Amino acid sequence: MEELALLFPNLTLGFSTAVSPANLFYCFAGVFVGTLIGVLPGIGPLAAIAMLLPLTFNLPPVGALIMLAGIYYGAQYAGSTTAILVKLPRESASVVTCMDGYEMAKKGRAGPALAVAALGSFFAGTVGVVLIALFGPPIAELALKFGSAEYFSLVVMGLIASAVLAHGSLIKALGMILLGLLFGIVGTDVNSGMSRFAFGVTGLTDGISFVVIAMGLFGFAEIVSNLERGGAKRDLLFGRIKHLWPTLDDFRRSWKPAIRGTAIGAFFGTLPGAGPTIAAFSSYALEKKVAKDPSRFGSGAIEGVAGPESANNAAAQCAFIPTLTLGIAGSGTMALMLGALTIQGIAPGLQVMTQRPELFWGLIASMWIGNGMLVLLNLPLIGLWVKLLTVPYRMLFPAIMMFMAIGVYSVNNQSLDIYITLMFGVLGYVFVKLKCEPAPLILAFVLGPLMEENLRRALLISRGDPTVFMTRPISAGFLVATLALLLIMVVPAVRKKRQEALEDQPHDTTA
Amino acid sequence: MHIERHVRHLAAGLVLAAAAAGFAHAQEKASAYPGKSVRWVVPFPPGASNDIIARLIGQKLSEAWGQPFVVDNRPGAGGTVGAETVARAAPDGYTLIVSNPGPSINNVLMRKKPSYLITDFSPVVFIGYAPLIIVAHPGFPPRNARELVEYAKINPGRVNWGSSGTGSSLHIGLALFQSATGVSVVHVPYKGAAPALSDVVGGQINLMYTTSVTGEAQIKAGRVKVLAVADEKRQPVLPDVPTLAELGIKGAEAKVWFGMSAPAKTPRPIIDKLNREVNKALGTADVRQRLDALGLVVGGGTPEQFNAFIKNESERLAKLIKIGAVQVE
Repeated sequence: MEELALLFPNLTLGFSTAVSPANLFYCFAGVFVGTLIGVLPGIGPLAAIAMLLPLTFNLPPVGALIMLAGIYYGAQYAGSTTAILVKLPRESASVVTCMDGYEMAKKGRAGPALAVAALGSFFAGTVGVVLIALFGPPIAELALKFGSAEYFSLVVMGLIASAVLAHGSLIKALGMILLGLLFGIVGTDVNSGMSRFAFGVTGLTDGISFVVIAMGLFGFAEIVSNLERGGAKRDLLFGRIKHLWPTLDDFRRSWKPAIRGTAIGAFFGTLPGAGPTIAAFSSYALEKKVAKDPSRFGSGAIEGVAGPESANNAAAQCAFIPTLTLGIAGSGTMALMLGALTIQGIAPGLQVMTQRPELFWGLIASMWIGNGMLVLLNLPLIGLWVKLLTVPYRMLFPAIMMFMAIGVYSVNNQSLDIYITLMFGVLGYVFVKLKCEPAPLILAFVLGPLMEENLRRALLISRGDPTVFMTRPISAGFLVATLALLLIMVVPAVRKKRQEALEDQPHDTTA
Repeated sequence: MHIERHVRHLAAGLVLAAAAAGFAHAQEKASAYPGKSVRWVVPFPPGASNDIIARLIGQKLSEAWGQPFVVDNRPGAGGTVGAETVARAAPDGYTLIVSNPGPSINNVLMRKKPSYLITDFSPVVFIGYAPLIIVAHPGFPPRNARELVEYAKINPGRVNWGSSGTGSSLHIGLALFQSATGVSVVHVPYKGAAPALSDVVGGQINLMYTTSVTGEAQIKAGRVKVLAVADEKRQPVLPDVPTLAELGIKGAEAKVWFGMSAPAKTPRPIIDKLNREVNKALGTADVRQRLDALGLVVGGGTPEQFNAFIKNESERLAKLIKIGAVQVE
């Protein structure tokens, strides 16, 4: 309660710092640059922040942090735009947005999809800011309780949940998960440092990059199958645009998923590593599970955009909690933010809140303002983006191909990645033909290495005793939840069969 | 006979003249250097210490010579990808690398078939180093490195010691410590120092080597305690923490270091020119201040000194490999 009493003066201090003209400018500059790099291929947020870091040496610390943070969440925010418009996920969390967002775009509903993504993100960002202000330190303490055993069990739960993502054959989904796990094995063995399945190619010793797989299976495969359907000739691949803005029905469907997604995102965001990705996937799985008609998912359900986008953004905001309060970086970008703090002569940690309160609270208040700016910046852009889709496909697809190639190359500056993308593009086309969903494969590809790393580390620390996964309470909790998930998946199928046999009451899917 | 001798003289003269011309040419090339933009390869992603150092000093060199020093991030395989590129680049001074233990020594010695050799590079200048410090969870009983040795001897195989990965500088530091003290601990590799540190803070593992900058926030907050500094002298930021030698542990000093290297056979005048200018940059107040903020002891010195340093460090690792303290892939 002490925190609650302090919150008001703290936020007042924060806002009075953040609304100074200079800081408002830094905030705007940050989210503007973030939006640009989120939409354009070439440099990701990590590289952009690294390049702009020296520029911030001469700024006051608050201004520098506000700008760098703006780039980070601005890019996160804009990442969904390319996912929805042209099925190009720039980061793993956007893969989920592709599934229903792009389908909506194809049906001429790109506008509502983009608007709901923007508003859901804003809502999630607002909640995230309040959460950081209220519970930052205790949440960070909780994140510290996560050891390898907990991560392993969490990832297992995520993998099982990913089977829900597939709309269609469960067997095919499981097959795709296995394939994803196999692709994830390529790289370097964490414990021994040996390279595996790299075939002597140095470029493969770090594994296949996520962008390569995602661009290949989604972006490239989509282009090939569009061309096959005569997209180039027909010119209008995308449906006639009915609404630029979401309808009342869209809002009615979206607000609950946005709230649930925010809660999920806030939880996973504080965990280092795959926070936003697991959050987005979990939110999608949940929405599909609670939906009255799950079959709409994968063919343009707005809930499938609202939930994951909120989750993704809440997670991105909450990733600041361990960074600011404990000085622990969960991702490369957060490590850079820590570096920026250090170079400014500030040691991150709880003492920042007491010694430099204007810095801590100013940053938090600026994040809220920045989120508002993003909405103002992105809503007018929606009209422009939607116009883009009316460009004839024969002109659009070479542009997408070029953007993809630049984006893939710039991750590691190696051309090998472009060839591997091509291979995955061909594979993705085969999957389209076989009606196999690539999303579970990608999730497994992201989570597989995490699962392996943490499984082996947990067993290394327990000296080979597998009971650690059950004796540690948080880990056991995740495993129980996994079991429950499995039951939820299996039971309706069984009940459905029985109902078909008895034919006594209408089909009930509210489970 | 006469003619033959004449020819021989002539040939010798020609060789001499050519050599002189070559020398003059090299001199001339050095005075014209850099005549175009210089690519400085950072074999790690943007934001790593290597990257920050290259951008900091690269900017000074660009200002001094009016030619851009372009930082080129070539991450991958712990720095091997970038080092390979530079090892095969033309030795004309227009491709340089930020050398540091991983790509310059560890990755070469710890592979059965390395794709390049330590001698594929000409050391230019030592930029600086960060001494390693041992940090432990506050609940871990030993209070310093001497007590740690006793504790590890009573509890063989019970201590969990994290690192930023197999073959990383933090892992080599651990191997040096083990071979100097004869204790046996369990090495728990992570993908980077940050997740390992997070597990030390959370008590999932007992301790690890890290640099003072990485550990600073946790040390100040009392979330980890420092058991020793693995350097010849104490650290200004940790005046109360004894060095390993003070605690009676000899020969286990370990550091993460940074320098500039060029492909082997790069003309000596160019190397000297670069060396002079980097030394000058290292002397400026703002560079010193930034490097200090990164926890670096600022280096400098001649190419020979840097070469001798690399040789010494690689011999220490070679010894560790020979006694089996670290495994070769």
